[in-house]
Amino acid sequence: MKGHSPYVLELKAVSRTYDLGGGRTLRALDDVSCRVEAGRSIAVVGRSGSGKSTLLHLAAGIDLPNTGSVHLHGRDISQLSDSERTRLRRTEVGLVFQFFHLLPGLSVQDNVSLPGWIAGRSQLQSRALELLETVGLSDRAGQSVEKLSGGEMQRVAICRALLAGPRLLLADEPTGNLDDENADLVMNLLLDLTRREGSTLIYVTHSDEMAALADEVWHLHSGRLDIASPATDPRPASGA
Amino acid sequence: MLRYFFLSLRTQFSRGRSLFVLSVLGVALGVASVVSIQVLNDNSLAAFRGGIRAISGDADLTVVGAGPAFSDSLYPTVLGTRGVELAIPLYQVAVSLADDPETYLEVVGVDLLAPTGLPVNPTSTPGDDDGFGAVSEALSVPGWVAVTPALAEDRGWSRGDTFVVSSGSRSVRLQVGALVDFQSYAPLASRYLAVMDISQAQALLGRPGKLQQIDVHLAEGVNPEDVRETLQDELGPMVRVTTPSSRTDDAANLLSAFRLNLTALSMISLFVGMFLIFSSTQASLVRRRREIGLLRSLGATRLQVLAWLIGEVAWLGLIGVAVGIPIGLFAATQNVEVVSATLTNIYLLSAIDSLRIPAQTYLLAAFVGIGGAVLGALFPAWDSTRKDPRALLSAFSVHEGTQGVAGRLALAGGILIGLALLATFFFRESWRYFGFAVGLVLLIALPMMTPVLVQAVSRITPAAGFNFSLAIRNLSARLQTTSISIASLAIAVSMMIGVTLLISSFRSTLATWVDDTIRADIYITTESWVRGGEDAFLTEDVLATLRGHGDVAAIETLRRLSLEIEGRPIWVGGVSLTLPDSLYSFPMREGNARAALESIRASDSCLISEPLSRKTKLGVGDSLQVRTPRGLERYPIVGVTYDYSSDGGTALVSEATMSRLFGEGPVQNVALFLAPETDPDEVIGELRAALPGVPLSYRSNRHIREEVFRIFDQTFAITRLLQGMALLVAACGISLTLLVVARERVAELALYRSLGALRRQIFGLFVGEGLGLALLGLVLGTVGGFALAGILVYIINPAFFGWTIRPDGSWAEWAQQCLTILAVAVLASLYPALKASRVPAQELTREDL
Ligand SMILES: Nc1ncnc2c1ncn2[C@@H]1O[C@H](COP(=O)(O)OP(=O)(O)OP(=O)(O)O)[C@@H](O)[C@H]1O
Ligand SMILES: [Mg+2]
Repeated sequence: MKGHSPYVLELKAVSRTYDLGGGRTLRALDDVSCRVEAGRSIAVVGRSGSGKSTLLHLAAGIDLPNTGSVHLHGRDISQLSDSERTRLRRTEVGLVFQFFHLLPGLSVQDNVSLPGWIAGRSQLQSRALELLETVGLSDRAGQSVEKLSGGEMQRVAICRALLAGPRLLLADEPTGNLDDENADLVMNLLLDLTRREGSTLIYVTHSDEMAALADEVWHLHSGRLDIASPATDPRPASGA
Repeated sequence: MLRYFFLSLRTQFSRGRSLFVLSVLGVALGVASVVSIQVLNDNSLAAFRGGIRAISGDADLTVVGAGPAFSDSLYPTVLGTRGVELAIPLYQVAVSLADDPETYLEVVGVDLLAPTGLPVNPTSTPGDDDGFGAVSEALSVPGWVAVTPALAEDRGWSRGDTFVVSSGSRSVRLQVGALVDFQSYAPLASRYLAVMDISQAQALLGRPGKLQQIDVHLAEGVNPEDVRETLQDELGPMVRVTTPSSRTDDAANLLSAFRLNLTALSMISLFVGMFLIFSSTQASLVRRRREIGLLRSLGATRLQVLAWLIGEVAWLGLIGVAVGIPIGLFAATQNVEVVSATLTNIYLLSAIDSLRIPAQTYLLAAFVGIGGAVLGALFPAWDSTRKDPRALLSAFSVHEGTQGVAGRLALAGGILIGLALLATFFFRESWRYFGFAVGLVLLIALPMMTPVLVQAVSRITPAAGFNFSLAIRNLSARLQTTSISIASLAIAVSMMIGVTLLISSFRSTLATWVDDTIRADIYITTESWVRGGEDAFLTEDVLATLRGHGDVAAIETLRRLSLEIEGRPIWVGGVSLTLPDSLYSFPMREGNARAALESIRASDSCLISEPLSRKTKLGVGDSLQVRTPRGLERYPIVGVTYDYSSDGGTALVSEATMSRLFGEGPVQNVALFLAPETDPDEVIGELRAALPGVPLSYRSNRHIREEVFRIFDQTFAITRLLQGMALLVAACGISLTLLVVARERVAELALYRSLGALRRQIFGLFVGEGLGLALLGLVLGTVGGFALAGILVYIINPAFFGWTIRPDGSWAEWAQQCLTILAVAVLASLYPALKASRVPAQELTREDL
């Protein structure tokens, strides 16, 4: 059933512990199980240190669980080699970060094209421009990213994350570094774009307002996951 | 603050071990090259000085010949001069060992019964072991000679053994009569020093009735200068009355150009090492800017922080010195032979016997190592303490500054170079050290051009993928770090290419000259001729045998004398000039060859070599001042020839002129021109058979060319070592830079990883960046190298050696060097690349880009 799983992401009894030295360990994620269907949007909320970023790292395949398993499109990432995992991430996962992480030496368009370069897919170059068009930044394509505002930077970063057409988009506090106005703009863009692309979105947020925009909200309490649907769900759950 | 200092020192080390090791290595290699050259330089004169000390002891004055060996009839005059208490006649001759002709014994003939001060005791008998040589047999046993225990051990001799030496065309059997440790008496003396009875030395190895030196001890209370003047007047112009110390000074003068050039080259490695410290300090400051900010906001003054940072670098320098000294000493011992060969073959000084490390070497090493490190750290440290604490505490990029400054820096560099060019145009010849100053300006200006070059190259590099082009563009994103490393590589490359160009130009100029001047089929001289001087002559019967050979069509003889000309000792050749005109070829720098040949044949005029012409600023139309038995006389210069045989300069006259001025004397060298179609090797074989046991050295035309280039390559062997050291330091610089870059860019690397870059892609990217650094360094370094070669060939060389060198270089050699450098750069980037490729993607959330 490899690759034919109905779930984009599936965590089975996942725990992630950190060795703090001196025999002490820290349980960042504790026996977490969950499934995500294609096309859904999920908000992850919880206190600082509750394990939100850890969860996203596991989902992206840049970190591995100590126990349990993480399945990305039906493939158990623990069973993959580092390079297989990396290749899977290239095509299937897009990442958006709180601090944008754009490369200062590159232009706006080049920053968006970067995943295409890495994957050796030059045909994505034109898609970069299309994506910039949709976020309203096509006229800035040739500029250096250093001259952009925070909101603009995050829009560029979203384009970058979507470039390879990933089925799973992971965003760690994408609006955490933006003012309210920009935060709304970026959040809506993110939701719109993922929906248009048919991708699944999992994002971490500290704001209830932002969380309310998702199909589902996951609460993390000291590493334990508590899944709840928002009280007012405007849309029918797709793919169910 | 002090507690904090030591605490932070420990953390620094454990956190950046590889950075630490590389910076220490950079300093160490810089120190090593300076130390090795200084030790060799110091020792180059030590044996000579030691020899003077061992022989002349505490003599107040020394009478030495200013031309051919002088008559011993001068001795009574010296003794009879007022104020002279004791006069010791000496006959010195260098003879070569028959079974190892390149090893010379410096035989000193002395009156063993006179109170010479030598550790030989005429009254003790052979059984006595009082630490002094027993010389009771010295006068009665033919060939009795006292040698050093060190030499005896090398050669496996013991008292009573005999061995054969050659002096000119004579072979003489000597007997080890005593083992005398001159070295314990004058610690720097050479082990090749040997003492025998003066009349035996004259008769067996030299010429009876002649002396080379008279050491004079003065009576108490007399003014040495007065006696010196009186003696000089009484003895006439063919001797020079001098002091032992001024003889050492003369030798030092002789060597000064050689030593200065090595010193300058050794400084380059240190200079490159300074860049290393600059970037490692920079790197540690980038990592610790918050720490510095915190210290400042907690009340540490700027000066305190600066002292703290400088102190830390000084420690690093100290460790570099500790590591560098043994490396330098090792390099010195490894190269002592080639330097020693240069000293003996070219400058006719004593071989370096064993290396002694003067105490000031350690001081010098500490000074240059710690000083260099502190100097390298000064700017980045000062720069970072200048920022106010708030700026330091906030996340900022230290690289922001360089981008804007790059243009201005390049402009300043350009102006510097322009000024240097202008100055070259006007002042090139007015100051002897001008070439070094221009070289220094070049080495300073070159790094200033780097940031702009990096920017320009990255700007024109299209962003086309996760490949080499991205690597190049990344170089400009970390401009300050990468520029420094490119600059240091460029300097090392400049030196490599500059010196290589000099050597290849020199070599090809020499080749042309050799082609022009080495015309005879066979050159014959004696085995001891290199150092044997006047005494290494060919006897009449040997000459007669050579002349008598049926295949010898023509013969040219050369008599060589060391004469004092224009106040300096110079080799003067007296040639027979009996050949048909067409066989002579003088490559003329000034004057006409035919006319000059006519003139030196017909009159007492001379040709001088280019170095002599440059040093004395004399040319055709001027006259040369020569010390002759009749006093100082002047002879017209009819031509200036290109000549690469001695940087001290040479002059050429006819044999007739030489005899007229200095009396008849034996010849030292002979050139044979053979009948057409004769095989020179066959003739050599026949001559050997006709002169059995005569210690001659026969060289065919081809053979002598090989010999010339062998000596040439030997002379430059040490510069190859220095080139290698500088390259090694620069390689450390590349590793260091990439490590720094990898560290500074953890977040960026994590980003690549999270965007799907494989480990080997990151690895490739870093190797690509290493390659990019190397390529840019090569480009700049090649430009700098050509400029440096120009300075060496056109300014430094004429000023110090006095040769015309025609520029010449081979592209193949250049390409080979470039490939070497690229290979070194790639090697140097492997480890940093490996480290970079291991950065995990999770690092991204922990740090800002
Ligand atoms: N590499 C690590 N080593 C040790 N502990 C870690 C490591 N990474 C994360 N942790 C710990 O795991 C816990 C969960 O971290 P995580 O980054 O997932 O929290 P978070 O919910 O994202 O917090 P925030 O909202 O502050 O970003 C925290 O207590 C953190 O200190
Ligand atoms: Mg987090």
